[in-house]
Amino acid sequence: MKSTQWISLMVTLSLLTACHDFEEINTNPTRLTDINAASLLTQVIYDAGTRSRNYGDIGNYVGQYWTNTSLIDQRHRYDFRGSDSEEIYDNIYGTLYDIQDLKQRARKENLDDYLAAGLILDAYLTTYLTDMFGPVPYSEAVQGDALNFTPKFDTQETIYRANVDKLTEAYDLLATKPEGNFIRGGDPFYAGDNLKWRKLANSLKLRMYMKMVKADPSVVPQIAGLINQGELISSAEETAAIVYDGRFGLESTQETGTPGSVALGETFATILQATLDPRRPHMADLGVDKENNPVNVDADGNPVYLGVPSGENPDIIRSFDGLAAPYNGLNGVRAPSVLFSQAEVEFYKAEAILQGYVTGDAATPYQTGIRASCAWWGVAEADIDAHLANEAVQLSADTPTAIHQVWTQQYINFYYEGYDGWLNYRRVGYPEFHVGSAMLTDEIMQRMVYPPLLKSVNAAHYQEAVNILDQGDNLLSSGWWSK
Amino acid sequence: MLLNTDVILSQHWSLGDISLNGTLGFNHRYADENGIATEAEALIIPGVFNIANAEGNPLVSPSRRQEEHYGAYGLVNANYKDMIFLDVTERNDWTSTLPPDNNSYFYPSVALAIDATQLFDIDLTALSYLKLRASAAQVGSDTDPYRLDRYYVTSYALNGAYSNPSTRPNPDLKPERTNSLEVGFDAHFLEHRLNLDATFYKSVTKDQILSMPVDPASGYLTALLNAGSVSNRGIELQLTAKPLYADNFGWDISANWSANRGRVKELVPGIVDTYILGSYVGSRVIVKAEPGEQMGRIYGKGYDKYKGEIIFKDGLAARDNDEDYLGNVFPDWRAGLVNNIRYKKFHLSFQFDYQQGGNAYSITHFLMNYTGKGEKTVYGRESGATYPSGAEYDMASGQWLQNADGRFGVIGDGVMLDEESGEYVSNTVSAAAPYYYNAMYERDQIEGNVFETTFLKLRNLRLAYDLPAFWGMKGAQVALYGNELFLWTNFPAYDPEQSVVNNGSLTPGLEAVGSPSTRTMGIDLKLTF
Repeated sequence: MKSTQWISLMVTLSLLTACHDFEEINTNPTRLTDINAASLLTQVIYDAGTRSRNYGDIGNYVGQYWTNTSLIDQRHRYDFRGSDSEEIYDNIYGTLYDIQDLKQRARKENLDDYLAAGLILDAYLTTYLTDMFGPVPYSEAVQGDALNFTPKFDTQETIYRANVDKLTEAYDLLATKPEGNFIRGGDPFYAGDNLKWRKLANSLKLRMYMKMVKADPSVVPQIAGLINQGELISSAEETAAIVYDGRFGLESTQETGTPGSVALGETFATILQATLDPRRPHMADLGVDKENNPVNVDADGNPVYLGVPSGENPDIIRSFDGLAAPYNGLNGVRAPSVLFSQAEVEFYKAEAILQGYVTGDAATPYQTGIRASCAWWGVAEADIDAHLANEAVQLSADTPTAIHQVWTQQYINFYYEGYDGWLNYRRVGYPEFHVGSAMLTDEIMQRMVYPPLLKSVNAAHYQEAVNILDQGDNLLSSGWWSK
Repeated sequence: MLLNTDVILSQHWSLGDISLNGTLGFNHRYADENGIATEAEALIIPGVFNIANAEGNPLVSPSRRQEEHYGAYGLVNANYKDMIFLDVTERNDWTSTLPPDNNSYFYPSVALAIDATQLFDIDLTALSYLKLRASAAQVGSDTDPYRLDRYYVTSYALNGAYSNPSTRPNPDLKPERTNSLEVGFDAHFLEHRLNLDATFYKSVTKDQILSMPVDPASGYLTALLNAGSVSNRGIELQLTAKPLYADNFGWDISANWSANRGRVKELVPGIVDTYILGSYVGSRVIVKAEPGEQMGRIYGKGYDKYKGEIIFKDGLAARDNDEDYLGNVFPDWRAGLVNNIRYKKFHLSFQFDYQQGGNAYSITHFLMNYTGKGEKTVYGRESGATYPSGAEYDMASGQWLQNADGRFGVIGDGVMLDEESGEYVSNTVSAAAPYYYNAMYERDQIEGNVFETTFLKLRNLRLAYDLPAFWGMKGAQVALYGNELFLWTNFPAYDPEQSVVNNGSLTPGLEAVGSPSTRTMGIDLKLTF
């Protein structure tokens, strides 16, 4: 008995000598605890471009570009899941944490260009968040490391003002070090071209001012300043987009929803049909019969890309036949995730001239914008020329009419950036959106509701935010700039 | 690789009527797992499952898990004349998975049992045996490895890109501790023919290591935290009886009853005030634990109501957009009853199980009823109307009301706003059946789809007959049996007992189109050699 005990004790002791340093074995050697700023930048750009936008699905419903004929997906009539809000909120804050990490590392390593890119993407995403929800955590956001799990919400105005400053800071960082050029790589937007980043910063600022101007007319000189300075996105290569061309391993994962159930929205289809827009075959599939003939043809024999009015009940939707569907070819490399296009800038310029914010000939940016948008969607040069020659497309001499023409083109240009199309509607109230009889609201929605978990996990600050909203946490509360 | 070493020294002493057993022990456990998963999306030559045959670069993901624990313990068992038993243990553990300052933890326990019948020399027909017991114990536990440091997540889409984890690691984790108190007795009456075993317990878990959902604006979806204090208390009763006992006839009954209440005292004060136990169906249904409340409260949108009655708008049930408390997921109590009856060579046994209370959101119910496939949606359809010219089914009275304008529909049982007076009056407006049932039971109408999980179940039944021994066998028995035979419940899906298991963890409060539990019936023959 005693001897067995001694033997087992000795076995144990021999094992003990092979024992380990606790801290060392509790560190996973297969995973990284430290990385460089460039590795973060690639992921942040990718996330900013794709995940946060939910691949355009909801945006395209909300922007009335799409509807859905199935009973399962009813988001065109504002029947959202809590997860639709989470998709935006959770993902963007996850990315903002990465951006904070990127900025900290860039500061430590004196990489001004990476810091500037971080600031620009930070401003882009937080503007997007407040546009979607209204007040959101901003000054106390991403402080989980300091155990702040209940950040306070800041107002939309506060966030807008602070983001304008962020973009200025970013611009200055890039301007003082023009040779910086992202030496460590990792930039799938512009391959490290500082000038293009500066143009993105200015274009984002222009987009913000155009939204702010109604609530705060004092930004008019800033709009004029940006346009006159001319450092804005002005070519297809400068368009900020994730292009799924295989570089950085970027393969498109874009989905267009359940085949057969997604149809064009009437709001969008009607606008395209009015001028027989040459982008139609690139944006949608025509509803055809078994012999491949279009189901719907107008009086002159032109095929009709038929859409369904948004927010209607299934009985009405079922009464439509031969609907046009989003173009299936968008699944491939032809559906980049666009954050900011050249055409958008051009239409802002035309609008600013027509509104009298700045002097110039509105027709020039208007036409450049249409040209840029058509080319982006793959329309042939000759077809673009013919389209621009169409009388209905030519910019009217009557200013109010002309402004509406610009807004219409801006709306078309926001296809696949559906949320931006809807945000633009909130900004200018045009084109007219359809209030469907089966919509859960009696008006066009003004915001997304907060993710349902916030009521539980950040109750006090959630309540403060709800009190700021004019109609509480529902779809109709308006924002600061869209009142 | 797993190494486990135990060293145990024990000694026995006798001091008069007291017998003592002492044990000293030491345990060492070391686990080391190394893995590499290699994945190819496509093969160059079809059918050749070799990683060298991968088209493009195969995806390689290494994995590693290493942990080490030491434990030192001592225990003493004291026994006085086989009448009083006292066990005392003490243990200290050291673990690699907690930070150096908190990686050692000590926990004792003490248990006392008294055979009162012997000790007090009780000799009664009524009370044949009485054992009293009480114990107090503390248990400490650690966590999984690698939960203290931040590890970057490899991008799923991009080569060489990384992002931050969505769970906040915690470099200051402490060991979990559970303190529990238990008292109970085992009493036998009437010469052991009626036995009652009762246990009352209370346990408090402090510093429980939980991955708690937090506001994602913090940069994290969840945070690993030591959460305050969660208590459980409960009663377990077991009654066994032999009401009839004779050579040719016997009847045994065994019944049990149990109830448990979990309550959150505090979570992480000032940091996290609500723990989300579950969030289902696109975050429409949320199950929470809140300080001062019982665990497992279901929240979700409900019907818009006026003085407890559903408000109908244009004949459709209105939904309020507030988060309403809709019940608790955990049952009030459970009970079971087992009967064994023997008559000559026949044996009959059967078991009933019962559960009182508890609630769950039923996906089956919403799927069946908002699409009009459930039985409760037959009322108000044109095909079943008693007046072919036009009629509306009045839910309140359960009768068809004829109308002249040829409409068919359902008049909901509730109130509606009278535009003229501005007051709520009984609802008189009908809606066509598809729209009526859609509004009543759509997936967002959480209240309309949450139901009590009370049930009574005939778990099994077995009728056996002893065959005479033959061919040199010692015995044989043939039996007819059935399992999961009958279920009585108002729960609208097949079986309220079946919980949904999601990612290996139980999701209380959700029924997600579960299949019915299988009823099995059969005959078996047992031969004993």
